[in-house]
Amino acid sequence: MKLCTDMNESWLSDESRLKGRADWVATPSSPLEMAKEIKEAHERGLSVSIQGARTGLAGGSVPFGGLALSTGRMNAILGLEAGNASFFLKAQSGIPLKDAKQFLMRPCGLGKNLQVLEAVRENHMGFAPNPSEKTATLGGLFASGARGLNSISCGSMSDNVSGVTWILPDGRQISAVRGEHVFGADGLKLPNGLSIPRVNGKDPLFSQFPAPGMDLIDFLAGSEGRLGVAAEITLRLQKIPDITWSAAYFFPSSDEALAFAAELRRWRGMLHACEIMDEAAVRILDEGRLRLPSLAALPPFPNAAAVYAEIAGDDSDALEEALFEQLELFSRMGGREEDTWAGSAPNEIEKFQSLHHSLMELGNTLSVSGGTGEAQVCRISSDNFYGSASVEKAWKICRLNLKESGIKGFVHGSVLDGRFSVCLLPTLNQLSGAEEFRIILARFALESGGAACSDYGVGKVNRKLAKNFLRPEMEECFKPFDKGRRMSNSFFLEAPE
Amino acid sequence: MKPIKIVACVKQVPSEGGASMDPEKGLLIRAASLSAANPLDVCALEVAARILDAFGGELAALSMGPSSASSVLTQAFAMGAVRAVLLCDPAFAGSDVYATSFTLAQGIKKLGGADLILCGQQTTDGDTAQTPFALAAHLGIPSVGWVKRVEISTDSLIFVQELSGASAAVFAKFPMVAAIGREAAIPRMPSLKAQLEAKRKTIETWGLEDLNCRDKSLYGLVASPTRVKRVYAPSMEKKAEIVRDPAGACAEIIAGLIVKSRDARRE
Repeated sequence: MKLCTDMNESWLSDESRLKGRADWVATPSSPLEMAKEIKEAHERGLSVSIQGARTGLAGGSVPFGGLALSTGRMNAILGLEAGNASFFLKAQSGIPLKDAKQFLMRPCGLGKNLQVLEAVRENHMGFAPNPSEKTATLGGLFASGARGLNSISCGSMSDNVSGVTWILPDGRQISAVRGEHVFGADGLKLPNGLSIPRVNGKDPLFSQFPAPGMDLIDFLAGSEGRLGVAAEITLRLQKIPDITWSAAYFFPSSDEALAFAAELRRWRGMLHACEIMDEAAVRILDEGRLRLPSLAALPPFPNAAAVYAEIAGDDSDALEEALFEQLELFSRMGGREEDTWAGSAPNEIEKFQSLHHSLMELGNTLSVSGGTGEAQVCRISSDNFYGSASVEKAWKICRLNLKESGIKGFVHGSVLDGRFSVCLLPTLNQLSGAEEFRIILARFALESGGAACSDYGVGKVNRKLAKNFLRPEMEECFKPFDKGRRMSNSFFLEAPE
Repeated sequence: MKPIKIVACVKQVPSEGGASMDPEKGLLIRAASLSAANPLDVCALEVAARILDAFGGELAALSMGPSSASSVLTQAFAMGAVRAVLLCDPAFAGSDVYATSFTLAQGIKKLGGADLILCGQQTTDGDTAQTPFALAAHLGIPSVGWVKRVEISTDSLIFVQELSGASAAVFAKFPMVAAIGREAAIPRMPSLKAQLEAKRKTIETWGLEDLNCRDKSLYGLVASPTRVKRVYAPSMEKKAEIVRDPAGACAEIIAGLIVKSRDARRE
């Protein structure tokens, strides 16, 4: 590691706009180097912040002293493997998702594994999850427990990982292969002596509650650096549907949009994504056409609220029939033909999929921080999974609370799995009200058996919020990993209040 | 203005990451799954749709390429084309600007001609920006290029050209070719119904034998005067000079270096 005297701004921030400081920096290029740096930091009592592409919205990669460790040089494809009619892509954790995907699609592959690559292409295999942030690294997506627009149909990032090379907070290295290490009734004991106890109940904040039957990989996924860091990741490739259709349906109000979205769930088998955006979200996107290159090629949005639906499969007739039926439903509910947008070519679909990320980006630029970089005024959102609460109820509670708070903001989210995000745009005087708002919604989500901070993670931005819901017994699970000192990517840490 | 017969030329191009270059053969290697309609051709389709909205008439879309290129014609259907033709024949392979524009001209003749032929100003792969004008030359009709705005009124159609800092308004007089720039129109997002119906429309495929001129020597690689001699990445030479001056005159020294570098470039 090198002393960080002349700090490059980029080390200190991510897309959350939170600004930190680092004492040391390291840019390892291999798991061995990474382990060495982390071991040294552990021995010297330094906290460690892992940085991938710094695309996180919760400030997880922002250092507050200690070591900022970038995985930027760990961006190699390590190979393709085939076995039992399955295909796997192994890569270093710092590779951006788009580069890993492109490796599988571009005309010239690497010399090695060429035969496997050809088989992958012939069988239409690929990495199926579709997080809207394509420049994020595989390591970042794994650490944050990313899901993607289509997680209902193809699983989360974690579901599509079959192996990881993992560096523990003290620099020890373990390998996890899916199926090899599974939690039992008493927890999990690894060959290197690492023993993780079982915890009864449910972790309200993270997905990796160590219940019996859980794979070690799923426990590590979404741990946001508390349990260590992935150095290498093996992705399980899935059959990518031959045909995908994207369609946006626009409505005069979000109530009508919600009613339509709820009806769309009857196509659940082929429906890969179903997102709703309220009036404020659509207005912000429409105005954003003049500000964001990703939206510049879009015409004006035709109506106030929107439902984005993606259906996919291999049977073109069945898909088209479903779309005609959806169109008929749209028409019966008062929709006009000109209030739909659709496309099935990859570049058309990309336009639709970029809407989600553009909305996040615009939320960032509109937040009160406006680039001031002050920690307490960075982007504030309430992103929760509403568990067993009905989609209609969860959506209404989000909207009603936003209205009653008097804070500007917008609501959007996935109708298929009841995950809604409220992006708040408070004035400086409304900041405490915004925190209160987030606690109310998080509490409702948890009471419904859901989870808080479910989309963008806890990071450092949400640590105050998370402390309201922290369960002390989870600490017991973390202890074996860090021997009392954990990495600073969590909200627990040395980062200032 | 009376109804207009428009032909829009649309090319399939590699989308980002969808192509690489064979350094030995100097040819583009395309991945069919990563192809798209040339963005400026889509702007041309939008201009066509707006003109037809105002004056009525009909739009035919024309493309040349492998059978996979038919997807860009489906997009043309979704944007209002009533007819779509793909010029597809091994004899057309390897065409440069000259041979491509000749082939497109034969396609347009076979279509019975047109009042207005719209093309994107340039493509994202070849990037020559010459095909529209070569096409006009083959057809013996005038052309207007670098169109940045189209003004449509009840009795006239004006193409506003970008002329390196100045603009020129050109009244349309048919038949003519217009090369459309990106600023001219933001393409519409086709409706779901239009997209679904487009999938069910038939794309006509014409080979050499379908055209009026069947002389093989006038098409494809053999008729292309352009030869790619070598494909290479330009070498970039960087020279760093570290300025260390404890007396604090760094800014002055660096300013001197910038002036020196600028003067060297001018020479």
